[in-house]
Amino acid sequence: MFDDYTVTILIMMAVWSIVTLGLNVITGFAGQFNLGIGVYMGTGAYVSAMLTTQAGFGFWSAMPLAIVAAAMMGALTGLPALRVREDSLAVLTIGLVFVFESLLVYLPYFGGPVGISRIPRATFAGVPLTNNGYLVIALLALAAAIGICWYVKRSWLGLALESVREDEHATSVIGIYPARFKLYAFTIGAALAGLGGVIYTHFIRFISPYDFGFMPSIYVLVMLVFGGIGTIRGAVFGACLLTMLPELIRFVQDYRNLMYGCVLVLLMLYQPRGLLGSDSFVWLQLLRAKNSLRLFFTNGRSYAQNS
Amino acid sequence: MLKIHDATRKFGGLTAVNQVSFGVDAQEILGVIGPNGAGKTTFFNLVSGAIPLSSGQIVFNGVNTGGMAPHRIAHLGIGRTFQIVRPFGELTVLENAMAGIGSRFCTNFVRSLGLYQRRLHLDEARELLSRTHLLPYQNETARNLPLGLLRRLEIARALALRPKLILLDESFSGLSHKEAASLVDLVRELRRDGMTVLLIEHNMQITMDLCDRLVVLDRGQKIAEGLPASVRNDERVIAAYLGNDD
Amino acid sequence: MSGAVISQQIVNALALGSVYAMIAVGLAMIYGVLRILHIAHAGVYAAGAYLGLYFFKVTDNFFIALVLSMLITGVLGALIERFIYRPMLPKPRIVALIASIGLFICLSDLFRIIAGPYQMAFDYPALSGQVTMSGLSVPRVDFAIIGGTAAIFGLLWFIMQKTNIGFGIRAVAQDIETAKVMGINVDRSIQAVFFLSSAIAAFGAIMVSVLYNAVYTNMGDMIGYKGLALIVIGGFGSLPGAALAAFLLGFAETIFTTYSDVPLSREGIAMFMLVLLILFRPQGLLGKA
Repeated sequence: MFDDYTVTILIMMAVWSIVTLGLNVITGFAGQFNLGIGVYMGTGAYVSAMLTTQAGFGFWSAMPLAIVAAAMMGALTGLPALRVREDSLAVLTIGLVFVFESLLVYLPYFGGPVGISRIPRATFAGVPLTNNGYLVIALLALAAAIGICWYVKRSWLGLALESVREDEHATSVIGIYPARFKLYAFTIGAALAGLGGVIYTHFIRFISPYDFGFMPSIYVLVMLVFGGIGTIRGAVFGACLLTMLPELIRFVQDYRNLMYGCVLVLLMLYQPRGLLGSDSFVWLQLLRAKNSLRLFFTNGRSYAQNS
Repeated sequence: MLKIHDATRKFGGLTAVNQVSFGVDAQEILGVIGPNGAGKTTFFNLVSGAIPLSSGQIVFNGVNTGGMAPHRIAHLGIGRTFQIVRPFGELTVLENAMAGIGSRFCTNFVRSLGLYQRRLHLDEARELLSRTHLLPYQNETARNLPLGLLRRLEIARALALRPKLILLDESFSGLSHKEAASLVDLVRELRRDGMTVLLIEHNMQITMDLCDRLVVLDRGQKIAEGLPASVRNDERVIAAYLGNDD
Repeated sequence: MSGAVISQQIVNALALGSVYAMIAVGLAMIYGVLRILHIAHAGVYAAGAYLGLYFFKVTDNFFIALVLSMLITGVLGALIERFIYRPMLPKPRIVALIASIGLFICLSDLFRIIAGPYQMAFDYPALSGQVTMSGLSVPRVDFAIIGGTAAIFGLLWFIMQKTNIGFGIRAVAQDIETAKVMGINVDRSIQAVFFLSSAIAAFGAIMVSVLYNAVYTNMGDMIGYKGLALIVIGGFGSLPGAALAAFLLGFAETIFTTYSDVPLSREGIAMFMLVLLILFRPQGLLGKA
């Protein structure tokens, strides 16, 4: 179908989209700063890798356990969010990601600094999957992640999360307990990031603690902010574009951090809602274009009359 | 329905609310007035649970609310608005009202997974908005609205909880004459529907006109309580407002 | 364990604490006036080391290099405030935080491009090497760090308490609106904070470079993250709190890395302690509950 190189990029786009969607639940929906999404991705990745390499689990039986472990890690690290907020929380999550990384490095049980290698491929009906086959799994996982986020956003839960983001105290006086919903956000977001970690692990098949440290966490935040924080389309778009760009443009690959950094600063200065966030310039233009197209195809009659 | 016994709140060495006691009857409109810094908003914060009491008791319908978190007090049936408005800025007016309705569903995880854009809930939210004359703005983002509309939006959001008692913290300030008049009508309507209203207000004309009874606070203490006409002529109240330090 | 070893450890801990304190106090000052977590301070710190090394090679005079680097790094900090943070003040808090992260990864890549990815030596014979007396052996630069920090903090205290600029800074940190009403030039005060904290960071960076004889692109990272954690622990915006937390961390790190078999890196231990402290005293060491 595709050559290996294209498949690799596509799978990585799916992986980072899923992780970015996870961060979007925590930071975008619920407004809780988190600079350590790598902790949850890493938990999912490591649990799945350990189970398949050492406990004889298969891909499909390890995945749910890994996601549950990541969710539990989310709930555990969400507990501090009940006590500290905003800036303290941002600093705390930086600390957590370093503690997590150094635990993995210094505990030989987790493979130490070299990590875990020879992680088995995913199988389907007993047959190891080819890269093309794995792409299907990655895309299904992405579809599931988008579905979950879409559902959350339209449920009372999503509305409560957004209320908490907007004003915690005002949320509590209308009878919603903010702490409970922060924990839900951390748990759901961490589970999604864990899913991303599982998909990553069984494709790369070699993981080390540094894959889930502070810098990868920051990259995920960059992707989310780039696309448009708080929106599902923004998270997926940002993750896909920033995964693809370094591959397509050699220059971007060489100066990746420089470019990302500058783009981030410029976006914050001029378009803090990212490229596709609500009210962002590009998104408003797209909406306008959609309306003019609609008018064009309906010969100037408004859509409502036409339908 | 609401009984306040010796409610006291200290901030460091400062006593913002000092041994205030009074009762509020069901379906009463009671005004809390007093000069700036009298502790009115602190008193509301004590009733709504935003800050804990230093000592004393607040009993609502037989339940002692001391030490309860704000969301639990809200579920007992106390809604409130804020002197400095706190809408959910990035949400639309309709979503703000829906968020209030949502508190009835957000009591556990499974219930909170229900989809909220159901006809039933939308109709309820629109009903709230039309009561507060906000229906034409339902799809506006809240942060783009002027203050007058935000004050009404906070009332709509508080009403979504179907409270028995609603605390209005200077809901009339910053409103035009016409807006204030329609809000006065709304408050009367709420009382007719069986609600009790406790309000802080600086505009004397509105308070005298609207309230059944007044409680006057000055420097954290209750200095008078009674019918508007008798409070107006109370010497201590006049002295407090004129700033006499006797 | 001999008395000499203990005194040696105390000097090490004091020097380490001094470096942390210089970063943490700068970050606390910035947080005090702008309520911003200045993550890019790590990049500013490394810039100070690179500039110091460059001027040292050019002029071959350590003191000129030190002063020039502090001045230019100070200006760099002020420019960051002027062109990046100032336009963002009215926007939500997360905007400035993310811009700071962006600036931070941008700066360290910039050093890599300009100076190359490899570690560079900062060899200043007058300060390198060990001082040995009565069985006690400490890096000579430790004394320079401790003495320099004492001098800088003395000067900083003087500026903050006795000068108009310091009065302005304290007023802005109390409340920006009130400071404006009082007729204080708020923009200038904030600029002064960025200049001072960046210059102090440059001093610390050069001293650390001499201590480890190394300048590299992400040398500021860990110390920057720790500095941020320290200002939380010190009670946001409190300068004495940040300094106290920094010295405590210096001692704790020295003790733990010397006398325990905790299977964690030095950074891991430090971060672990900082996380625990933030959790159990979220209001900070000197903050009120």
